[in-house]
Amino acid sequence: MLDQHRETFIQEANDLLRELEESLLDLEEKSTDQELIGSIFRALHTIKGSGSMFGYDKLATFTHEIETAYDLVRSGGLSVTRILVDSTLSACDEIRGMLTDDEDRSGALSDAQTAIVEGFRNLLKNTHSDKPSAPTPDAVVVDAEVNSDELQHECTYRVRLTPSPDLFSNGTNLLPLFEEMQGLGTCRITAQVENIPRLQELDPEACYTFWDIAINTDRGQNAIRDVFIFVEDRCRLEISVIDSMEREADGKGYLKLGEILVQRGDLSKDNMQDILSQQHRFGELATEAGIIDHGKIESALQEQQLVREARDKRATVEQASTIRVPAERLDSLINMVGELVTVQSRLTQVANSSHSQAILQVAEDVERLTAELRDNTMSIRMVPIGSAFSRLRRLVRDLSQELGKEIDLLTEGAETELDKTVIERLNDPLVHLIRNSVDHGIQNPQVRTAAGKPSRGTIRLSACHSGASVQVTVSDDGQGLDLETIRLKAIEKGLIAPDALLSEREVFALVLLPGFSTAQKVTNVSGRGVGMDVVKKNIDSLQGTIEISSKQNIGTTITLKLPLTLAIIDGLLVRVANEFFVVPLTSIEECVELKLSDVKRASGQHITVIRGELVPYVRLRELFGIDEALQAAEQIVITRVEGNRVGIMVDEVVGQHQTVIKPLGRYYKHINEVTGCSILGDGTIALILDLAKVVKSAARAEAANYENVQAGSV
Amino acid sequence: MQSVENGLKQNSRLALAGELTISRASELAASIGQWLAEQETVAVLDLAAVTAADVSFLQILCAAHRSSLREGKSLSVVSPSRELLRAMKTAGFERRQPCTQCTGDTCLWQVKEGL
Amino acid sequence: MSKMIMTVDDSASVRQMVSFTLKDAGYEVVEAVDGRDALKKIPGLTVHMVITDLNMPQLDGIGLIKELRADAKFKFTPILMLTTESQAERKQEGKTAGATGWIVKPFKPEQLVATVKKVLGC
Repeated sequence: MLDQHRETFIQEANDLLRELEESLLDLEEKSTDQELIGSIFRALHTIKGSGSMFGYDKLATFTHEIETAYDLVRSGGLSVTRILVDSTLSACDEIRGMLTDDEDRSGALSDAQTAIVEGFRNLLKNTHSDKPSAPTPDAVVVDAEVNSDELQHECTYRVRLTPSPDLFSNGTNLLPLFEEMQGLGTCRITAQVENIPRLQELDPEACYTFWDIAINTDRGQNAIRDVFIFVEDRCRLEISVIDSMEREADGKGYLKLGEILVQRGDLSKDNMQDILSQQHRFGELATEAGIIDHGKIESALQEQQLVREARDKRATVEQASTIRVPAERLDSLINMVGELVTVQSRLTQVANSSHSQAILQVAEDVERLTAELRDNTMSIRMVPIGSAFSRLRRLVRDLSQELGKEIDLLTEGAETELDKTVIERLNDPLVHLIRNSVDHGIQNPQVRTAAGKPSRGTIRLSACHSGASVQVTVSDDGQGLDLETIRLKAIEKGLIAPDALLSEREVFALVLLPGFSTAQKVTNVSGRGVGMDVVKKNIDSLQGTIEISSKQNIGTTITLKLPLTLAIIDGLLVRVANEFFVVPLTSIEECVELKLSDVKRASGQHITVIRGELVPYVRLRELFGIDEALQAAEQIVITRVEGNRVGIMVDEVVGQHQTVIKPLGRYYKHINEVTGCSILGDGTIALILDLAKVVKSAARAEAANYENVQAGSV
Repeated sequence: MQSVENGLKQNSRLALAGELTISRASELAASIGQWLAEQETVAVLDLAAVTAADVSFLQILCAAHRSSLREGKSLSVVSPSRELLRAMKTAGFERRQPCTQCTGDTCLWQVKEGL
Repeated sequence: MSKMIMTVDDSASVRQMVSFTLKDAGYEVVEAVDGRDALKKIPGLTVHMVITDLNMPQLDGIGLIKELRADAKFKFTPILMLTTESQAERKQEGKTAGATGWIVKPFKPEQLVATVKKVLGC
């Protein structure tokens, strides 16, 4: 259908262009003919307006520039010259060209077209017009999706619509608007008729009525304003939030009848006190006393009822779909499921060696059931990350107000589920990151405007699943990190050598080191430089990773990668002599076999060459003091620890292993290199490695060793 | 086109029909006023044939009722059409209690429970 | 009974698009090419709404709105104006002259229908 309209448009535009050219030629002789100028302007305006309707964006942009000039000619701000007419004629040729070019309706202007536009702009520059020609942005009317990105909470609003008496005189009918309100949510409309006079005094075409509306909607205040957008000049529209989930959660009961009326200004406080001093029903008393019109009480009652209903609805929804269980009970359930998984794999082993078909069958069934039970139990602990997000919304609002900045927080993926413990422990780091963005990232509105950015900054908080982990990103469109400042600071703090060559990624990683802070001044928002290292520590303890990327003047993005749960780990089971270890799968890159001879060639230093690249490695055998003869061939598990490739040398890679993490007892609390353990099918224990700590203590051991060797050789 | 002139006038009963909206507001207010003045004690508006109504007509009804109270007449509405009831409901004119001016009398906007 | 809408625009393509869209949504449509044409055609019709462009030869949109508002028969007829983003002043003029609402060009068929329903009801 659009094609058909396009055809009509092309024909129409060509007709208009022909008329336009004739008018232009006439204009050379009659350069002050207002009618002629008017028709030229209209032709250009129609070509622009209709073009934009049918997707000829390029043509519309181009024509707009020329139309602007003729608007000025029309108002006497620009006189008709030979150059103007010539440029317009060549503009006509370009427009004709754009009409036939059906492929490229919305691309960039060609050089020739840009030159013409420049020419027109120069003509305008030389006029002493004080009328700004910049288009004033105008709200698109029927876009119900205001800020669809924004997560709107369900709220109850109080709306009072007070039309001016001449409301009807522009053809407004309020009924469709009230119907539109009903479409936004549950809505109680009360007409206040107290100002309607007797028929003899009535001006039948004037509006005497005003309205109290209580509405419960999740579409936000702007959606309500949009309903009345056509009548905003002829109405007073007051909107306030009267109840929301947060308010209910704060334990606030809803307002009493008298309180609503006082809040709306329909009743004075004194009057309310007078009435309350009598021991009767408030509503009856107030109207009997003639203090207040029944309609006002009616609407206050309606409002009370709506709030009550909305609360009831929320309560039933909650009741129907959830039950509350203490977290400890869940934890012990998980623990028992963990044991069951262990027992089950022992059963499978026994069954395999028993050669009894019957037992094998049972073992298989138990295996299947156990797996399902485990997955189900795990999923009970999963909660949407949105609960952590909503607290940050408030934080951003308060902080930005305090600092005089304008910041929007957009959230995405609030429904992404994560282990409850992970979410709880994620809260502090997130608060920290958001504080950083608000304080150091987003600049003041003036600075932003000067840099050509919108004065409102945006912080985007998003979460999504990626494989067995969850990715949480915090990004802002602020000033970004300055690579050079970070580098200098790191040198000053002795964190890197002055001549160190670092990649962008490595420089950003410096920010995560303890005691690093680049803020020019200490503010009470982000505190005193106890910055990113704390965040890093928190994320580490969650088995997660953190990565920073940033572009100056564009913004900063911080990406957190977190395991779905802390109760289960996907790992690689490895063996050294008779000991088993689990390496977290998320940090593994590859496994490589290493011959004893390769190691020898590396002359005792813990470095090997993997496909031409030098890779340091850690020998678990040495680290954990396992004294047994070396095997002829060992295997190296290549991992990425804090951005560096590190090999973990083991005797044998057994295979992939998903396991329930069991904490080590208090006795072993001082052992840093291990985060917990897992019990294998035959009852053997496998230790789960904390790679960052393993690498650190290996490096320390090697350094000590190196010094000893140096000392010995002197 | 229906108008008050060809509406039925008998036994102090006035039937209005058609689209009772702002464009007819002046005419309707005038004729209802005149008709009401002619009635002695009882006045009945038959609104069964109303096909559309807006806020302006609801205001006229309310004003007429207020006039009748002042003059000690009883004005009532019989068999309101579905369209009229819908307009009343949509514009929030329904009341569970009579409005202040109507104390002691039957308010036009009062909705009886169970109706 | 379906409601009748008059579309007034000197651009044939826009008129065609408005007309197609509204007919598709179940309205009856009459077309006029400018203000004068509209005033000539409208007296014999029962028009429930007028949708008019602002810039037209032979009586522009603002003039048309003023003329219609001065006529008792169309004093309260809903009138939507088609504006462009750069025309904030003209829109204000139109509102003062008595336009009921507006639609900003370019618009999509759905937006047109939604705006018409917003003013006329369903």
